Amino acid sequence: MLVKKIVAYLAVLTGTTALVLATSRTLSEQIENCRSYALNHDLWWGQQRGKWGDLTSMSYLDQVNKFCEPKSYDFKDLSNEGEKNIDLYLYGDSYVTEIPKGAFPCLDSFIFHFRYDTHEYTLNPAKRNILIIEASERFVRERFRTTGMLSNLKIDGYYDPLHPLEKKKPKATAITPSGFATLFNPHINQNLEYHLFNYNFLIYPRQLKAALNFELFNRASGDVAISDDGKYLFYKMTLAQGNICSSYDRLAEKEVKTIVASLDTIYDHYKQAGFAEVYFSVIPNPVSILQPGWYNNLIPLIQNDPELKVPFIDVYSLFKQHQQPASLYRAGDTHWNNNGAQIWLQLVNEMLRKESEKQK
Amino acid sequence: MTFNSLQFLVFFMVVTLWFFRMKQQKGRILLLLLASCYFYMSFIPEYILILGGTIAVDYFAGLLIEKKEGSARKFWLVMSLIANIGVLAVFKYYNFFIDNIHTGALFFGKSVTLPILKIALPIGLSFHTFQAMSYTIEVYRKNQQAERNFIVYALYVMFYPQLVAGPIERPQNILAQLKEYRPYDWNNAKEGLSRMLWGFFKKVVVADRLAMITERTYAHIHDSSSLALFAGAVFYSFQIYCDFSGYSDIALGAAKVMNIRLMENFNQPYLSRGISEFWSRWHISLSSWFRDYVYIPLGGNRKGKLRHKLNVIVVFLLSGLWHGANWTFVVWGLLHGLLVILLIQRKKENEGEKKPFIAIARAITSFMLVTFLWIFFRSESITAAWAYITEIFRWHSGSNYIGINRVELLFSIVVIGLMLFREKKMPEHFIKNDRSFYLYALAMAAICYLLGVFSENQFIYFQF
Repeated sequence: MLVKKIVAYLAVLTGTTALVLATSRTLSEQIENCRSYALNHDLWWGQQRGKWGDLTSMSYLDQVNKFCEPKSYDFKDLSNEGEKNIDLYLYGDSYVTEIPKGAFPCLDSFIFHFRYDTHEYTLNPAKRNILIIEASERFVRERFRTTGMLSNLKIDGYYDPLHPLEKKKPKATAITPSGFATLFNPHINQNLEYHLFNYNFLIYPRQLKAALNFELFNRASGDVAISDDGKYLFYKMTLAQGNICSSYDRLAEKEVKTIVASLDTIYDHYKQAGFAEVYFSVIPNPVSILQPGWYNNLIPLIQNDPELKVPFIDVYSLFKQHQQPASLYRAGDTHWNNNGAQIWLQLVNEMLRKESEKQK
Repeated sequence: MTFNSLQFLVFFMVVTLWFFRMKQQKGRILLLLLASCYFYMSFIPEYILILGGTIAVDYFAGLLIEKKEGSARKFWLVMSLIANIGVLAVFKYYNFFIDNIHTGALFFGKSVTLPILKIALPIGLSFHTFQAMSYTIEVYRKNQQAERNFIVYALYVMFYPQLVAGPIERPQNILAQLKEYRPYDWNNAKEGLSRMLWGFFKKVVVADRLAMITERTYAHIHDSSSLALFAGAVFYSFQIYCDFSGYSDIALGAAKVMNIRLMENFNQPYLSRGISEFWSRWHISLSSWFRDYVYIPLGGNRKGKLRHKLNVIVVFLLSGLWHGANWTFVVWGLLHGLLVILLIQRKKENEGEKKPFIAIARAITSFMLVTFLWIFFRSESITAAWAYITEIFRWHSGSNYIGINRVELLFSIVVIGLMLFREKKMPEHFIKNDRSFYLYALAMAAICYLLGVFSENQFIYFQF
């Protein structure tokens, strides 16, 4: 009887604590920071970190060899090439985080601005300031239907003293929860799973479930899908109907127009803020290239819209025409591999050389 | 917070354990009400204000109906009904109504622009509105005393296991149970937990697996073969059954753990030998609601044949509209009504009961009719539903891929068969003693985890 009581009290305490932790954004972040030591040292109370790719990790399919392609970026050092007359601002995401400054020619300075961060920069009038806005295809509809990025990347500087910048308030600001909403975290289930079950010592049942589903049903668990040819893992949201991140989701012409208008506004804003040129680059979802059967053509529709002002770094067309598109993405990851990255880099570097010439 | 989420499992465990640590019923009721508010607010927090408003209106209406006599009683009943139906009309039917005015005006060559409301439908609105209406109607009919305790009344509407997808309860069944202190009962806990596990199994192992098939076939009507489309339609019948009855099993089980008995909502509907019988076995709480508060007050079958048929059609049209503000639901309800009328004429539905072949043939026919009508229910528009049906009957080739591989298809068929067999032949959960309960619970939890499809699929009936 006493044991039952103790167990009941422990269960209430654990459950209540877990709910509170999972609801609070601040507490969840602090716990994550506390666990970073265990994560970095592969301790039993750490969380599995896959070396083969984010999707193999998410689906617990690390043991399936065909999905295990290591990350092997090889960036040539071009830091001594050309005049150092360009300041490159790269507003981007995980596709380009690992590209070092040395991979670009003609640069004096390189600022990588991760899309979630908020910073204010002052431009150097002595250099040619170039902004590249890079986005994974799955985030384009969500992020560029509005001009919300203007509140992340703020420019406080004057490029041309004859035409002083008119300071504008950002058109959109980051939405922070308030009132009732602070009590209800939309990510509570992911947080609960992280706090209660995401430990190395509890990994066996997950691997067993993953193996069962893969071997019997040729399916991956959770948020991961297997390509029709069985060679790739895809992030499920990129091929699910009714998901804004999906390459297969229906796309209305009106929405394309909205995105184009928003990109044009962003373009005008940063040009006016002092950038010599602003480029936009969308990295196609792996599914858009490798399994394009029901592709909604988001990228070509935006790129080919007659209203679009912003110049594109068109990696989509090159990927599409590639002899072996299968060689551009990692089999068990949401990202490209070295081949894909090099194609993008080549396009960017050609553009930088031309811009450098203009500055001379 | 859906039942098939980790949040619900933790929430249920914490609330139930707290519930049984409380020594007084007052504290328990308050705890359950607060828990129910949290449960409801986890969908769209602001909508608690709407729910709170209608609860307050119905609470006072109940007191006034009981206190007054004559036409004043009727007045307060009407006020309460207007408040409830008004909320439904604004949140669920307003945009549908305006859309139809726009379409109608265009048909006559006119252009009318009326404002469309950009609001989300409060989750489970039709369920708790109907439950609230049954309270004031029962008080008006003097079948139920008005509830004096506001917290008890609020909990009657908001009791979290059945708040967002039923069963649509009656005050006579619930109010007394909410007020009575019942000590912890291990047998009830075992029964409740076993039933919850069975509900989880139906949802995550069967319904969400079949959802992969139906999502695929309904999204690829024109490039799928007729056989694939037919399979998609049949599997949808089982998907919606496992989804909704699975939800009901979890709701009834969760309530049972807390010693509260909710009404049964399903009774093996696909074994029915006619459409009328199907409706006495499917979503029983809604069917009986329409029977008691619409069909019988309209005269039922007591006012001649023609009036009887008209009453049936009215009830089924309303039932269709209850499900959603879309012509697909209206057509679905209407077709069910027409089938019921046809069978009333024959009045021979049960004649073959003693002849097994006839009974089986009737059960199969009923199932196929219900399956084809589900196509209207599942489709986004009548045009899409019609395209789906015509593509089946054109019997053409095309892609036979239905979203899962052959092993999983076979597995799904076997699981459906086992589920139907177990519900028919072994309705009890295997809990004769503690040992068998622990084994059953362990096995079901392992099956649900290892073979379940966890894709954050909401329950289909949440949208209503």
